[in-house]
Amino acid sequence: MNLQDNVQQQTAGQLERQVSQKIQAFYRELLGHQPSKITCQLFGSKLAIVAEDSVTQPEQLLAEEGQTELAERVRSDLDKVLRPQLIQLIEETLSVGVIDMMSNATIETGRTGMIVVFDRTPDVRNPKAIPKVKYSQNNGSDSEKIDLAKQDNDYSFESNGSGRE
Amino acid sequence: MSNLLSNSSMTAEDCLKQSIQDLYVKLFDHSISEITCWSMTEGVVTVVLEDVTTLPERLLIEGGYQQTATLFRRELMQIFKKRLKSVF
Repeated sequence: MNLQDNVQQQTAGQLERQVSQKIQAFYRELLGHQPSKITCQLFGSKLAIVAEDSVTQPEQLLAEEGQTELAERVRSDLDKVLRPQLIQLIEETLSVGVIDMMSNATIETGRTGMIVVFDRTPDVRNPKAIPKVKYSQNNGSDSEKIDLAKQDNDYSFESNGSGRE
Repeated sequence: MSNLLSNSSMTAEDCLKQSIQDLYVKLFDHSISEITCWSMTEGVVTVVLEDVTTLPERLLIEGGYQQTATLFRRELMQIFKKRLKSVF
């Protein structure tokens, strides 16, 4: 079984969990600090990520001592160092290409937010569970999923966010 | 530190090492691999800490952000020194 088959067999929720767990392990390995919670949500050909408690103790200490500007500089430079590896991790997990990634962190709250833009919607077993995935109006079956970037005349499939499996 | 010394058989040197290690872990979530302390003259203690660089600093250096890492280290040591004085 190749990687592509593996991804196709998984649900959106499973893939989101996998990305969350891998990012958590990635932070732990490289920064020696594990975010307490990572939330991932696919929407169309994009992925939103929120990492809680993502700021390391030395950075927090700087901020507590009034060195907020330096703490922000450290975080910004750390993000630049981590970025290529994070992109690779996401590409490998979802079998898609990343064409853009925006991220920012708030030192005071310890939260990091990221928005990742893919070259196409990831292949999943239940594409209807991904909000904003577009389908042709004639046939809404999963196999009829079409790429959002290529079709402008279709309607969006809205998910209520539950039962992602 | 005075509590540690009075409640155990630890030497003053061991006690100092332990206090430094505890403070470093508490502040930076990082363990120092080796701490060496010695007193050459009365009232002066020399302390050498090995592997003090935290993972975020190391990552900055490896990623080419030497200047940020240097500023970061300088500030962390200022904070550490300030807190260490309050331990004694």
